[in-house]
Amino acid sequence: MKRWLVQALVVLVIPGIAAAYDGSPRYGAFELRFGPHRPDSSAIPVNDDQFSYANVFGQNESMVRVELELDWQFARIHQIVSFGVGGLMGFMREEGKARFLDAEGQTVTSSDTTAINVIPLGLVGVIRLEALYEKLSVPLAPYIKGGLAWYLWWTRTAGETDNTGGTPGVIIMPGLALHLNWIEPRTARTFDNEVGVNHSFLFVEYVYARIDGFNDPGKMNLSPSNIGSHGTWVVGLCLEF
Amino acid sequence: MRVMMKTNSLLLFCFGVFLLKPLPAGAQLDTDNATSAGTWFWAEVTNRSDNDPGIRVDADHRTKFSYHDCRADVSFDIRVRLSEQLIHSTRTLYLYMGDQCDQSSRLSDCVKIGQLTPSTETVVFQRISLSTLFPETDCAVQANATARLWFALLDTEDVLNIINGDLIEKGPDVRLDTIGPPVTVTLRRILSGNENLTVEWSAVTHTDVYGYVAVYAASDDHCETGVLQSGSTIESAPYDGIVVRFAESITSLRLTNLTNETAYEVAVATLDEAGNTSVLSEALCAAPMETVGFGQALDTDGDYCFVATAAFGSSAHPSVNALRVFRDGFLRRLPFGDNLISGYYQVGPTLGNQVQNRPELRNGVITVLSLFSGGSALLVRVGPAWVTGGLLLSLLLGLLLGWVLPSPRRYR
Repeated sequence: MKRWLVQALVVLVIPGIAAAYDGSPRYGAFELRFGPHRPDSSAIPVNDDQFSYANVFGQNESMVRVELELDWQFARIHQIVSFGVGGLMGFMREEGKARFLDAEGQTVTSSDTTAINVIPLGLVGVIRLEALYEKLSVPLAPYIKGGLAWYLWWTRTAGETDNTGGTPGVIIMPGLALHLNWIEPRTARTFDNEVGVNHSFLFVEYVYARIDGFNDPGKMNLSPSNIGSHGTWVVGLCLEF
Repeated sequence: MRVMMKTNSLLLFCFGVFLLKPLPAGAQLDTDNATSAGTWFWAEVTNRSDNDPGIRVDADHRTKFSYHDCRADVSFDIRVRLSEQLIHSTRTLYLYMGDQCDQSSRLSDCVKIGQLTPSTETVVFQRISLSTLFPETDCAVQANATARLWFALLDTEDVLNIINGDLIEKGPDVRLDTIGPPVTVTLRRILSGNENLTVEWSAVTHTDVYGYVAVYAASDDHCETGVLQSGSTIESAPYDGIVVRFAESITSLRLTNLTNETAYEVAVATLDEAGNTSVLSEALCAAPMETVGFGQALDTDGDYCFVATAAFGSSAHPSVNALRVFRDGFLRRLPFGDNLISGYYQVGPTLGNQVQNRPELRNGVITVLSLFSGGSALLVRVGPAWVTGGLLLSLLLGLLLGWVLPSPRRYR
């Protein structure tokens, strides 16, 4: 048989073997998420432009967001789609140098460190399409999440907290997950039997986050600007159990 | 069973976090210098007699001790710890100086410094003088010399007859080093901060450089006084403050507790292991300044308890006051406490109206708030850091142990 035909069969059959195993009941999912987050400096009002977010932390500097998410899958159409709700919690931080005014009134970079710390919180609904890898042996699982977010933040300069606050907003996160069970179906089955993890995924996700206090000018706008004016991306690992 | 195991793991982890702690500073393992199992010495050079306020060397006293001056009146103690088997030995503990005192054939060539009868776990050879170790205290001659010390536990002082049971063990070296590093630093820049200055220099690589010393002195507003002269010694420099750091690879030092808007000259010298310094670098001058951080530059956004006042009928009710203390003494101290409070103020008036207009709801609110206000004082006392930390740790551990790893299920 020609080699290409064998390779095609391997690619198509192995995911099918993995999908044929029903596994234990599924209750939810756990995610470890990483991604950049760069607020729009022009959307954050400051008393003096010389102390703007871009000037203090860098025009192109992004915070590294690390998040955990826990979903409860409360409903499922067997091997088609699942519905759930989830909570997210993460942390990100950016550091820069505080400034002072010299005798000529010009700002000068000092040796003191100033930092902004953010804890993004979110409550989302999740819809995952399972039919592709469950029925069609295509190891992909598109999904969409949407809900509310609340970004808690505080700033510190020279070791002391000098401002705090929180900004609510909305988030919409479509993504695509790569089902990993087909790579090692036997290991996946053992993982399920021993630990209870039914499926493992690597995912990439677009995050649309409008974190502006619902258009409240008194709230610090922490919407990301990595992709467009309110977008960024996230990658991570998802374990469904 | 699995739930119990997970619970026990959780408890063990919590206790482990609190029980694990680093060994106290100065703690040492007792097996060093062991000649054989159960018999060992451990020596430490301590209690230098001189009170020179200059630079001190806090080196590893167990093996090496250095002086940066060669005054004849400098002396020190050598404290020796003995193993259990040696404490009540009938033998005498001798202190010898020499290059090779570990063999009976050479012990006679060594100089006896002192002797003790070991009757306790720790014995001290007191006031060993520098002039005993280095008879010629001419610094030009003895600029870099080492005296090697040895401990010998002998039945008799007849050093030519080392018998079974006698022990000879290497003691500390005392090194006389009076020459500073031959290289100094080139300062690159000085940065101002709030009540501090940070001075930076180009990296220095030299085998005799073990650290750096920064000295600073107040100057005039235009930094024209020239208090610290390049090429002068630290001992002759009229400095107001000094910072010493034994770290070979650093290229900056931070001077703290300075006065804002007061100019200071700063110069740096290198430091060797004995505490000798090079000459001073050329000085830089700057004034610490009050700085503005990002949070202070932000241009963004109450003292009323709506629900409690509506429930208790008065803003001066003791329970309302207790809740006010909780708000100011606990919630405000949280990183996001002000936002929680402002969020409450958004919805508080509506909730207060509901409580006021519905007696059945009001009674329930009174009960709950009364119970909480009684315990809120404890939360204020403990503090938000401990309460928040404990809650987050419990939540995280519960999620990890109870939810992420469910009980295994076996299927066909």
